[in-house]
Amino acid sequence: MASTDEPVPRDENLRLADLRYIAATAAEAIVREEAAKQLKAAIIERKAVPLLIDVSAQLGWERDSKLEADLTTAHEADVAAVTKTLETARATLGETEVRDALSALSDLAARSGSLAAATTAAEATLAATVGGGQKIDVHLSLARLAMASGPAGSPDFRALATHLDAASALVEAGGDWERRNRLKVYRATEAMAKRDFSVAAGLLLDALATFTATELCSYARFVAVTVLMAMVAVDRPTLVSRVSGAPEVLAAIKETPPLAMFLSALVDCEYGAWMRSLPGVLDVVSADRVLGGHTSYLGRELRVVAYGQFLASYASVRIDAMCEAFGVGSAWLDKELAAFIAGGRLAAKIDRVGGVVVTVRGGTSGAAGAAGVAAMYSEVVKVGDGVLNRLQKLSRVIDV
Amino acid sequence: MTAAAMDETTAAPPGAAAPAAGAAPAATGEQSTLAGVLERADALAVASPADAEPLYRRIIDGKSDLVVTPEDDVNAIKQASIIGLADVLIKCKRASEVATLTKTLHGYFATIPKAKTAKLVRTLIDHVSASEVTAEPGQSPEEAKAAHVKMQADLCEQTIAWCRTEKRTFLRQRIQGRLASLQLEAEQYTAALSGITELLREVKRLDDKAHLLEVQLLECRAQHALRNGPKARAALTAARTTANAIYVPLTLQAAIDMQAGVVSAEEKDYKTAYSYFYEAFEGFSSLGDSRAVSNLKYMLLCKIMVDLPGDVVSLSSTSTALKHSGREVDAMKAVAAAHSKRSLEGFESALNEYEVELKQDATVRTHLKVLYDTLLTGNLLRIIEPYSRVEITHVAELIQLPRAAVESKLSQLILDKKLNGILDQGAGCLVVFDDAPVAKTYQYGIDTLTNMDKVLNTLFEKAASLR
Repeated sequence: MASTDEPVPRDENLRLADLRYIAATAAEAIVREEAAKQLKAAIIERKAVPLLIDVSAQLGWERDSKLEADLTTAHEADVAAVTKTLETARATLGETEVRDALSALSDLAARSGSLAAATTAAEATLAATVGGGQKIDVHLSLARLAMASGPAGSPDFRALATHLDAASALVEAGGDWERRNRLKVYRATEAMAKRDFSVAAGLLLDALATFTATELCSYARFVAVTVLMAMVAVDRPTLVSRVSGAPEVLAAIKETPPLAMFLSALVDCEYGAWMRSLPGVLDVVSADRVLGGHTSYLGRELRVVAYGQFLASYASVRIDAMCEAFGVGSAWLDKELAAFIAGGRLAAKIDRVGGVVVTVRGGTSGAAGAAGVAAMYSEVVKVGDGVLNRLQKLSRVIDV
Repeated sequence: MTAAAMDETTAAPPGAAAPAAGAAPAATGEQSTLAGVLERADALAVASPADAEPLYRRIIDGKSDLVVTPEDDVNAIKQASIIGLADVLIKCKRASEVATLTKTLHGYFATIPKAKTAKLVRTLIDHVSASEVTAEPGQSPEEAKAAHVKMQADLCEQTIAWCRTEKRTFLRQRIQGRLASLQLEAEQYTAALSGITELLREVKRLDDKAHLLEVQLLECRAQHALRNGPKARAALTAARTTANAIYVPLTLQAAIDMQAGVVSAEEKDYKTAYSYFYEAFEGFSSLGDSRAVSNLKYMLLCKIMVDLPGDVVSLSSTSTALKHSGREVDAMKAVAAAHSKRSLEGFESALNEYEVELKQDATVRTHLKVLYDTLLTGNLLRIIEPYSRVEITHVAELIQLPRAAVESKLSQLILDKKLNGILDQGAGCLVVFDDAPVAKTYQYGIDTLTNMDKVLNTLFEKAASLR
């Protein structure tokens, strides 16, 4: 894997999981059917009977017991062949060959799409593996399988957490930098599936410069997801310096066109353009297996960030000016702002009679400013008091 | 003559063999020699290009109806006619047919020496790229330019594919370099960069330093366009190292200097950039290369960016600079004048008047944008300074810009924390705060006291260990 210029190909299980997601949720029927066709062909080719049963249940395919029986027999024949190699290796050849055979067995189990079978097979491989790096790889491949083994193809969080924790422990004990960075991307994917966007953003930004985990997702998708997470979770100075100025982002973001406009509009405060590119961006998000379920949540978070940024420099702003800036109607904007203000996401109040939105801010403005200063004064007095008391105690202890 | 040429065109060019030869126009028998036809075609090419085409094709097709005198160098004449035909096609605005022409000539290329093929193909590509860009009806100038670039790129790609099958490595690498620079023009940066990286690997192995230098310069340009400062600098250093090992022709040396200037300017090191641009200007100027003017422009730009607009006037009146005086220099002088008066509207009017020279040059555009921003921010802050509360309309009047632009700029300044205040749109005014220093003092006090607390902790421990 080291120093090849060819990127590692995408993990097959994840590719099938993507197809499964599209077959289940895409808007157009043609797209769904095409994905379903490809999925079925791939599953049959891989002889993945447990996966077939699962997917048939989810997508409403008819169960063909003869097909299943055939595939099971074929799969078991493969397993028997490898077990025979294992026996020969144990009897005559060395440890490496034994390990290779065990690894082939766990690969077969993973191909069948059943997490339980793969885990049991992998335990045997782990026992036979010596190198820490290879152990980490085994855990990561099980983690990848877990990402698509939950109900209806969503992640199996418990299994995912177990394997990622095991991998982290091994990395802490002595993993190389490449695996450390790869683990960050896996952790970020776990966080994103759990809607923990701020954690995900931090991890993704760290891994941005050294991305190598192409078995998980393509580079373009990685950059797109990083930008989205950063826009939601990271403050403006960091966004400007680490995201919109980063050469990696600049190069790769052109491959997701709506996102390029989206990011530059937010940074340059062009809210009309931002609003116009939002639907395109949300389309991209909803087509993504990991983030698709969180599309509306993500959309709301992004809007909060944009409104917040707009209102940050105003003590009060006319509603029609805000409507014009964002290019939306006043009734719709009123509903949006009301929802966010009532939910405590925006510190503002709408004065419908006067036609303004008034921001409420603590800190340095007017009466609230004076209150803030008074608070700092009392804090100084309190801390100073504490210091003086301890000094007195010290002088009692030290008798010079 | 024209009527006779018409006869030839009606007798479909590829098969224009026997009958046309028989009806040898303009009476004299010498006209049917190879060299003679070439001369005639060349003469026609100047006067009426369309008529020269069939004559060229006759020569190229090599039908043996034409008499070949012993002193004729058949190959040289054929090559000259190929180039002539290409020129004629370009003049008739059918440059895309040059690609089809090259395809048909692949068989011929196999017969002549490789070096000649290489030279011929490169000349063809050069002529195509040097041709004028003409817009079809209904196409905007940008689209026409893009189509022109695409056509050249297609020609290059076709040639590269042929080179791969014929194993003409030397030619293929040169054309790949050409394709990469075309992709840079078309702003397909990632494609260009991947092509360049692959090319670099190959060329490094071959130890062909001259070509390696060109490719490294291309890499520098591509990384610069992708705003990847560190990698652009690395590519430039690599180029300089390569240049040290070989004799560098003057154009290439000047190109290196120009690129070094651009990279330095990107890092805001305008003094170094100025000296590089000066070297490049001298180099290009002595060769009479058209890039000299751009370098003069960049020199003046650097002077403006380091806040010495006065130097611009004096520089532009030196003898070497006067030779290149024109709109480019005037544009820079206008910008310098606006800058010295700190006048934003002067700036804007200069930008509008000299749009081509200022806005369409990427380097100039980015730096002037920065300059405009700094100027605007500086002016705004200076105007607001005496006020604690001021109407936005009043500020707009003072700075003489539209109200909406002023308001959006102010909100951006507040957001980026360059201005400590808040906009009150209900009352239509800006409120400026100044109790931040006081708050900071309290903050410093709290920090100092917390640190003293930590000191006390250590002293307690030390006291305990003493006992």
